[in-house]
Amino acid sequence: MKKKKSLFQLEKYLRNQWSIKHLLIFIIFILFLSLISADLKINYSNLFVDGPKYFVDIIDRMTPPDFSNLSELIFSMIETIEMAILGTVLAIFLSIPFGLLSARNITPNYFIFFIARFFVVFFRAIPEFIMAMILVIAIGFGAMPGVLALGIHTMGFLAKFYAEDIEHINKGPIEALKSSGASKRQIISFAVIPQIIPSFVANNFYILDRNIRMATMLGIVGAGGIGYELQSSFRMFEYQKVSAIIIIIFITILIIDNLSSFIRSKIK
Amino acid sequence: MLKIKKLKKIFPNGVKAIREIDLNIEAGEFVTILGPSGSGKTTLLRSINGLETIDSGQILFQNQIISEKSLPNIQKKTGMIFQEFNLVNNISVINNVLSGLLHSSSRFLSMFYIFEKKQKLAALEALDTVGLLNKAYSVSNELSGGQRQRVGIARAIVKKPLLLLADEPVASLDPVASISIMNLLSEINKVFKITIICNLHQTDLALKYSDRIVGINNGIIVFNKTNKQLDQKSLKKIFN
Repeated sequence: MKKKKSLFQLEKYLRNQWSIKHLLIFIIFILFLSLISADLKINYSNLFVDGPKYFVDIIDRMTPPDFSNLSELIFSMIETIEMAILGTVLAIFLSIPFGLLSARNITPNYFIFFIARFFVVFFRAIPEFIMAMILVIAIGFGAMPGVLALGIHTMGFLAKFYAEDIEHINKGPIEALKSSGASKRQIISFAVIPQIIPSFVANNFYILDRNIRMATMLGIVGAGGIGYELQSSFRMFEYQKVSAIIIIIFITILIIDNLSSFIRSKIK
Repeated sequence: MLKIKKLKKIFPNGVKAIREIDLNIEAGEFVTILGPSGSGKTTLLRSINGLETIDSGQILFQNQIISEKSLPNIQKKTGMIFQEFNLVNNISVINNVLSGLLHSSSRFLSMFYIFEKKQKLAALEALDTVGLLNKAYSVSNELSGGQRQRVGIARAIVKKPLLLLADEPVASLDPVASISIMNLLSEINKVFKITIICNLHQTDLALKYSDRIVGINNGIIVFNKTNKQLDQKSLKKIFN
């Protein structure tokens, strides 16, 4: 064993765990946040001075929750879930071609890739809220604009997920099939799709879960479901009904959340 | 220093990892546990420092029965090194080594990677022992496999343990790095008088480095003698 350094020699190797650089980064970050707050004219002290007073007031007006029209509320909650299911199915169907065409290693040529990517990014960029507002004007009130808005917007998400999954698949099986003379379409169905099936299923459930949460809000712009009830109760200052609706939404999301993570864990 | 009495371990899926094992380890020994993969040697090592719970039997460390209550005290006196090194790759080498001292650090300050000066000196000393002092402030994932295992060893010896458990320490390394890691373990055993129990599946390394070889097959001990007494017949018994 070679001769070891003494403690005195080792001291030369000591360094602080946190350096001036870390401190500077921290200070700059705090400065950055304060500049943003100043620009937005946010005064945090208001939150503690007036905030509690109004907060207590609104909580007071919201309690106790008014469940007098419970059956009606449950009916519109079910309507919301139905909208989300239809929207998700629409998104899945749309996303399969868009996902395949916007994956770099599968797309037939650059032009098609560009068009597919454009639509995927475009529809993901427009929030379903805004899409629903436009669709309500175009095709009228009801569930239809909600379903379409959810479907088209989440198509953008799913197609992006699939394209990324396809771009990261194991290339070994593709080479093996290519070497034995398989066509491009045969390769897709034998080597690409089987590899992405698990994440395909998991992503679809995630989007369903997300769409149910989003669908509760879509009614606010007139696209049906529980959000519509929430909106009208707010307009009539019926805060006790608002809290009842919030509780119903919360319980539904809690159930859906557990259900979807249970199903996803079973798949993986 | 270590007495294992009638140890048994069955996994929930029904695999009998350890059928029944009795084993004594003396202070200062370098013992190799030799056996094919799936023979139960990893489970044996992991039950000594509480990474596996045991179904029946007893393990005594310095005449103290290993139990949930005594485990923290025993973990302070044992170090472990792993086949896949098990370093945290995105933090510096010295922070990896300091993580071997977390049991004796301030619970609060160590959350922010703040340690006492004498602990940092101990970490540097351990890095000096494994020959990586000049890499102390490198990020761990910049190191080669052999260097990573050296960091793993530094993390295990920084607490100055009495017993070092090495689970297939060279199985992920090339032959040259394997030899230098085994040489290092042998030095640590001789210079610091640290008892070493080392799992291996390579007979040549076991013969070269250990004082005693314990052959395990299918969850029972089939050979337990000095390495000079290991012949073809007993090798066949171990690896049948």
